[in-house]
Amino acid sequence: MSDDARAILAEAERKLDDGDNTASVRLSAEAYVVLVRERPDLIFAPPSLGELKVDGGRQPGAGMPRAPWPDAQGVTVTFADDAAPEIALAKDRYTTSDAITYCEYVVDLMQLAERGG
Amino acid sequence: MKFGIQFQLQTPRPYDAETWGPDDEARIFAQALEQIEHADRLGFDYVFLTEHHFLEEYCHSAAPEVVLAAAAARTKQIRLGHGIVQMPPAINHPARVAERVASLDIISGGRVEFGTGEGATETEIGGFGVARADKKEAWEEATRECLRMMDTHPYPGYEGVHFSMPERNIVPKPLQRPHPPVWVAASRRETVMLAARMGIGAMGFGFETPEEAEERVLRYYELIRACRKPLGKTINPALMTLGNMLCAPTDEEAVEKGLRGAQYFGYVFGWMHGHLTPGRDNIYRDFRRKQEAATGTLEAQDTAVALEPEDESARALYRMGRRGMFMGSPAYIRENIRAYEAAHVDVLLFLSQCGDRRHEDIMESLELFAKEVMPEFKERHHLQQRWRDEQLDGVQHPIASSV
Repeated sequence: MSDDARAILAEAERKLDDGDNTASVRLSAEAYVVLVRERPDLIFAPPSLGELKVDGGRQPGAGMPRAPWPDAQGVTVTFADDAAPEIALAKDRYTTSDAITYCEYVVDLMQLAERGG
Repeated sequence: MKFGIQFQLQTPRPYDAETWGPDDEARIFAQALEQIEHADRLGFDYVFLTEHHFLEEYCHSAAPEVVLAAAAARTKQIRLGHGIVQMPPAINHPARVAERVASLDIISGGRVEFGTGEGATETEIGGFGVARADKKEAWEEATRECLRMMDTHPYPGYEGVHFSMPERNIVPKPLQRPHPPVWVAASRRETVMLAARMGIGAMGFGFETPEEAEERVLRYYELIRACRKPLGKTINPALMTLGNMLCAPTDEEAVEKGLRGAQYFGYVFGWMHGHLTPGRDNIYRDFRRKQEAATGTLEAQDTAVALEPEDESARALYRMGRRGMFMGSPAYIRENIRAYEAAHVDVLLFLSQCGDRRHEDIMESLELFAKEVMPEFKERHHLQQRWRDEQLDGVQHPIASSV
């Protein structure tokens, strides 16, 4: 795994600590996209998978399947077939709990990747 | 480790009638109060009442503050928990929540645990006009302001997104100052960490295994230590998990008495996520017919898998019911609890009243558990407290917690 996702996530946490929730949410989504690009096997199949070919199944030794990306908090990430992943923010401003939710989702996914899940 | 019991006031419809008889709900409520009184005498530490709306059969605990008030009058030491109050203002105005929590705290002598949450299914939040995309934001705003109301004289008023109100002095104030210990329902891992970053306890209904719990506990305390902006004036660093419990002299007897109720719990919970036809379903009958048709066949396993809810929270509870980590002899339950103890979970909350499980069996189960299982964990609780103190070393915010 490259350091890109880790660096973006660190910036998302800094923004969260600074109270810039909306910037934090966007950065967490960007870190998520980088992670999924590198390790598509880590996630439950997103709405449109295209070339990533994630089977959504449980990998041996990977523990419980990951919960899906929490799009109910107002951020959707679409992996279109032949295009770059698209991040859509449905709200103008995000709360602390939104920002924490996205940040911690990606933290967990990254830990899973580092454990070799 | 500490122990509690949790109630939904689950009320299955009769198998052979279209709706409940006039005494069915009254019987469930009366039995629950007897069970709470029994648990108090036996040394259980907590009772938590859920709050759900319109989720027929699954949960008839729609006004938990009333049942908790009755419990307060009948008990001496057990702590009385909201597990949880649905905080979106369209469901419960924050000022009314502050008034009710404070009143309960006063009449119970300061025994309230203030569990909070955002509401779950479309059936209930939709019933109050709360949009799914708004409910977490509404929870955050309402909970923060509700805690301010308990501690400000007067409350200066508020202009927010989900509610606004002018300056008022909200009375009464709770006996536990500045406010009772605060929790949040946390079925997803992210919400456990949200709790840590906001300095509140996590009622982790999504802890499916001790291994998952261990990872989450370590991260939770790491974030508690780094907590900069707690939601309330004090923090409540604590982790609780939920399991279905039926203790009997032998494993076979426990399964015979307890398994069907646990399975029904998962089944009806799944039903709440998308299948409900208000006032017209007989979920219990449907469950029994499917179960009877599939018993003893390969189809039984397929049926169980096919019924698994897609929603993560619902799935966790469904699996919990089928697995029965705490359904067995004292030896079996003791062994399973040790794994959670090793993971440093502070509180295990047991769901015992569910489905058609018999009141007498629940009373015996609570008693057997209290005599045969609870003592060794209570004796070792000081070790957990020492570990917890080490984790909290250097925390800047005042701590108010019952664990």
